Amino acid sequence: MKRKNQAFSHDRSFWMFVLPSLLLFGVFFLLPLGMSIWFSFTNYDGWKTMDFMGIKNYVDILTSGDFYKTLSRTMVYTACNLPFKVAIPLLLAALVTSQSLKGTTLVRTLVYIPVLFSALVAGITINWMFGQEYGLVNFLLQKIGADPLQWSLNPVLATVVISVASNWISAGYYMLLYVGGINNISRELYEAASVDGAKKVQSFFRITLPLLMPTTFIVLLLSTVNLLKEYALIQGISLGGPGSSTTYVVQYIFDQGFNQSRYGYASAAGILISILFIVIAVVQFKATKGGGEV
Amino acid sequence: MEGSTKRKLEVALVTLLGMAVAFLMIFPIIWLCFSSFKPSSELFAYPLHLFPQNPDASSYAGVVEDGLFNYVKNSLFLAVVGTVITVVISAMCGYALAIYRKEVSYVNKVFAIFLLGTLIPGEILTIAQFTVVSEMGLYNNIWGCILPVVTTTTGIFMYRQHYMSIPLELVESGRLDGASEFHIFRALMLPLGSSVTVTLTIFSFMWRWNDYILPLMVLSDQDNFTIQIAIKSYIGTMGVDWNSILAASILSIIPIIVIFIVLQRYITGGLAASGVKG
Amino acid sequence: MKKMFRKTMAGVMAAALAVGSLSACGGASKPGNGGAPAGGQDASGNAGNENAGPITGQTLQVMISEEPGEGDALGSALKKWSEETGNEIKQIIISHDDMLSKFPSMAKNNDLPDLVATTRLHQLYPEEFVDMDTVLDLSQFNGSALKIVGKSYTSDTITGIPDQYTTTCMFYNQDAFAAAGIDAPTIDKPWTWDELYENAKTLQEKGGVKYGFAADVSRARYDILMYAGGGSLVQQDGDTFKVAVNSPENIQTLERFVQANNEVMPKAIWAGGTTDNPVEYFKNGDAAILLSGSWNYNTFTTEVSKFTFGVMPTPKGSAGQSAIIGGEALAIPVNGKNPELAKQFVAWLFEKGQYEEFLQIRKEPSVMNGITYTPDTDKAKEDFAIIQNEAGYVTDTFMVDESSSWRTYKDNEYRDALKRAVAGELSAKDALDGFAKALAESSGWDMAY
Repeated sequence: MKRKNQAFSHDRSFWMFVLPSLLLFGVFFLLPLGMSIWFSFTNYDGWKTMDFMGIKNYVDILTSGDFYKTLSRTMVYTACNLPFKVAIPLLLAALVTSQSLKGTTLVRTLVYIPVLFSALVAGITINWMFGQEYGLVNFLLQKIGADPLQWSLNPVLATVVISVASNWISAGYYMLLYVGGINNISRELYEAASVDGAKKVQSFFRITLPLLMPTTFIVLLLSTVNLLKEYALIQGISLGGPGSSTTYVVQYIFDQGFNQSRYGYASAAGILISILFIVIAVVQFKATKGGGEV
Repeated sequence: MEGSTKRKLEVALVTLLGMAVAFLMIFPIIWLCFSSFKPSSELFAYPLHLFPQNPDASSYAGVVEDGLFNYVKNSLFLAVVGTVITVVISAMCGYALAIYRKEVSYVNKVFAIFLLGTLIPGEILTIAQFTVVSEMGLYNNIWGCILPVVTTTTGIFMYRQHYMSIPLELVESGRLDGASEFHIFRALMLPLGSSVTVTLTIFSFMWRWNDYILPLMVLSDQDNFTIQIAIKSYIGTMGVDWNSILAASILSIIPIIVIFIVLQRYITGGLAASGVKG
Repeated sequence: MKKMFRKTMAGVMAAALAVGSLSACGGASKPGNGGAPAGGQDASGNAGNENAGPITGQTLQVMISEEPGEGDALGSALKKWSEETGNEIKQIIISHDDMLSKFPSMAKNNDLPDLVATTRLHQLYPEEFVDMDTVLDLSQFNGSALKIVGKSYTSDTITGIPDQYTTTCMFYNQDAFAAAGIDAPTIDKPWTWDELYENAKTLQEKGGVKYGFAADVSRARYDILMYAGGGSLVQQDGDTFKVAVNSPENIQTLERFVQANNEVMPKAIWAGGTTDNPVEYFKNGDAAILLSGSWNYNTFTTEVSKFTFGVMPTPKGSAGQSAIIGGEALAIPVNGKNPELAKQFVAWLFEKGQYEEFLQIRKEPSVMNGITYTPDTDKAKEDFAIIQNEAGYVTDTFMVDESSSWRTYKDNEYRDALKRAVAGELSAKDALDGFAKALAESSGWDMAY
């Protein structure tokens, strides 16, 4: 009897703690989610029209060649960037945790600062560096006698610029995740290794890397979702061009839906993409066994 | 002796490398900053110079005249208030999800609901969110930009992970002393989570400072606009007003950098302790 | 336990919904009490006896964009009006793109401004704006200016009065022309488009410029090539229209344009991979000829310092010359807080003396009959004669296209199709076919080709 009462009071305390978050989450996330699902079956224009359309929006999207093109472009972009999203922060973390580095705090702070910028400002900054006509990078290339590169005209180079921007603003964050992971590795392991005569590079590959696997899984998961969602950054750089070569799914939704007030259509595309994201995340989560015990 | 020379060389090389990397990361901002002091005739003139030939702060004067400080003030309110709420409710929620994991059987189901928040791109919910905001009468009200975004799965997750690593015995001993559940949280457990609190404070401040789409839709009074809306307004249909946008961008990042530098000495420990260690 | 979870969840959701709907009531009633300032009531009180005298001591809310070159004329007119009448001005600056989403959200929340300077809103949502026939005597205005800039897309109602009236026009760099030994065309002896492309090549080789020719990335620029080539977007078909975007003429024009982009134009602009503005290239002396809008003239007089610039007539295509006119209109939302005050301002602005003064700052063609803008210098007079002459090249095909209001069905897709053709992603034919199909689908019109 007493046990039961106690359990009940725990339930009550639990809800008391969780309620503020849950209430706000319910009103401003779950409710809009439900509304978006409803919108996706209508031709809602955000203002005056809202007729039930059945699954027309979904059919339109799934039979549009551009949708699949955009989707596969997004996948390629994500896949090509993932190695960098892992390797760069890992190397940075190895560097800033090195006992030989003087001025660790300064280096960490400077590397982290780009993380603080809004995607808009970050996009503007990188755009300013890589401008095809008056940008600094092309100026330096010409200075050393090379030809200026067509950063805005060549689809591959345009994608490179966006990737640079994307890595620039995320590297510091993932680096800190790795720093946390490295700090948790026991010093004794390295000492034992150095007794065995292992070089620093060897111990990095033999000890550090394997023990950082859980962090790597987290970094992979986070950066996959963020790469698939890439949008705001591009608005400050290429606007999706040249042609449509840097237009990824979220921008596609905005262009097709929001910018034309076709909110029903945009909602349907959004729902489809969310489902896809969830599938990818779950597959990744399962494949990596949840990154150990997260 | 020879070992010490080698060690010195290694320190020098690694430090040099570290400084080079740091410089590379920060250089785009330095370039942006120098450019913002160039008059428009110099901005697009080859050959480029690192330092402005005729430095002038007229673009800063221009954006200040456009009301930039007022926008900064609004953004500060949004960021500070939003951050306080986020930290308080995330701490409570994450704490409960961790501490009651033995007593409350559906803890993980509740947690799973919050996890939905990370998987669905928030951008697609903007219109519906806006509809809710205006139905609640929060249109053109800064609270309409705060309340929808204060719940963050990341924050809840960070606190949950942190409190998972704290022995439940601590809570039990508090209960045996007759303390109320809330008092245990407030007086005993919350201070133990201060590393997460600092980390989340930085994150949340940064998120709110950089919010764009929702404030754009919700706020209609020019006097209430935020700094990001002001920056975007310099990107026109026919191109970018580079003079103004460079100055506004530089001014917009100063507060966030200051906040970060003040709090940053806690952040590494904070993240490490927040359980993302795996 | 499970049951309880469900119950609690249901409770939470019910509570959440209740909060939502309760406040919804609060929201709906708000504009009645707190939302509308006392001024709103005064204004409607005044509406009955308008002759009682001008409204004073109130605030006029104006929503404007930030297109360059603008603001000065309208801004100083607003300032002067405010000083004369004792009313305050409150500006809301929203870019043209964002206005499209901002306006509906303001409307839904009964928070519309009193006056809007817009390029599209009054045409897209005519029922939301005051019929200008009730505010001004419309017969004193230029008919085609009203028709193109002021008229609703779907009816004949004039919902806006043009405060900015521009035509496409071509600027050129006189120094580059001299260096390349090229004489500028004249009104009597215009170039053909082929000649323009050829001369652009010469300019690139000998004129000391990087690009011979540049054009704003807007379909309102590209379309003058299309009309000059004898094409159009739609064709009249009795009471309705047929989609003609993918006519052989149009495909040919686009193919030529793509080629020009590869040879003499800053291709990145039209391929859409940059936020650069070709106007900057021209101002900087990097592009010799610029196809843009006449509103730039005003800015160029102060900002072009590296060379002398001039205005030249548009080249001929197989169907002659062509021009597109457009602009921005002042429109008064019906549900604004103080439409009477906005009406007072509009009526004041378009009084003869006032408008003349306004035009002197704006340096643009007039929209009022019997009033013209006279430039100060001889050179400016010459240039302005060419600009004014351009407006006469507006083709019938353009007027038909405008009357179809095709932009209510598809708009940005057109520019995107052109971009993809220039970027080389699609052939000219595929790009236009694709857009024609999309337009036909959403408008319900047949395809002509």
